[in-house]
Amino acid sequence: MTPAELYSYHRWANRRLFDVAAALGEEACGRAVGASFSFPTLLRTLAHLYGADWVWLARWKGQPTGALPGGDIPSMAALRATWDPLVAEQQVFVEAVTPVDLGREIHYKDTAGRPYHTPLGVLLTHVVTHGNHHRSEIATMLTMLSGSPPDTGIVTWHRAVTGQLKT
Amino acid sequence: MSLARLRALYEHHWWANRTLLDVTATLGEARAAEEIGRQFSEPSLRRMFFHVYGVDALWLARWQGVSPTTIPDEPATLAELEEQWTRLEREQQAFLDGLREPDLDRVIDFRLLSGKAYRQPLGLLLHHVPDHGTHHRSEIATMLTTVSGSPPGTGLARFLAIRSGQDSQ
Repeated sequence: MTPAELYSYHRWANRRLFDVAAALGEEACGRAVGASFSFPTLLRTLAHLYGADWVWLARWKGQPTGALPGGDIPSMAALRATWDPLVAEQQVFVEAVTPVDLGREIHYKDTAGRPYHTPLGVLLTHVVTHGNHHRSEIATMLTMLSGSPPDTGIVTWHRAVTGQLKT
Repeated sequence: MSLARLRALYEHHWWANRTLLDVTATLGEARAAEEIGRQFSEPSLRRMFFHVYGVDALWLARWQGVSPTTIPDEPATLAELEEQWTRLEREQQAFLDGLREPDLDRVIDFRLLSGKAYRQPLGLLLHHVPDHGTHHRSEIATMLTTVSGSPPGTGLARFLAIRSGQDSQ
């Protein structure tokens, strides 16, 4: 699977859950559903996904980063408006990645300022895996608020894009 | 995704499962079997781990040309599950060791437990299993946070930072 395909999946999975959450309305998305989650609300969890994707894209481009953005986004509508340009920018980046780029070491600092270096190919996978972790929390939250959302696994995505599944 | 990168995903998968299994084992068998919440895919920690194990076993069989019609028998304890799992990891490792790059494009014909038939490339299916694990490990982390406290991170970036010596354990 190429980075372009992997991110096609990532965008599909994020959008699928965002739309289910948004359909519940701003009040439900802002409601605290449990202290055991990484973030208490759907809005904060989705905004964290945006923030993490933003930070990693900046690191891949060698741009300085500080804290994750998005922590103060007030609504799902505002999040969508902020996220869409990043989704487009991330897509341009991953579709330009060549096999040689995958081995390129990215030097970056984490949010605490500690320096790390990791090949780009690994970091491209990490962002999608990070998304899976939080999408799982979002699925549990949605189950609590309304009902179990549709599956967002990569196998389901592939069935959808190859016409083996109706979505 | 190259075979080398897929193999690294499995090393992460095994490490992450083990990290959370170890935390759960310290809570004891009774706690692991306790029902924590109906909002989760499986109600208890032990059943959630068993689900991850069982699905790993199903996919390994499908890659080898066999589509099981039932899931494996559930062990009575977390300790027994860990033993079975170690054997399964060795089988997964042997399967991965036997692959060559062109195998990733090979189309696998398989049936779900329901009997529904699909055709999907091996490389995608190999990617799916650690992803599936991440989904349920996230639930396990939430469950552990509920019953005892937030477990250590099991993300891919943390695993790689530890493995490359940039972070301590």
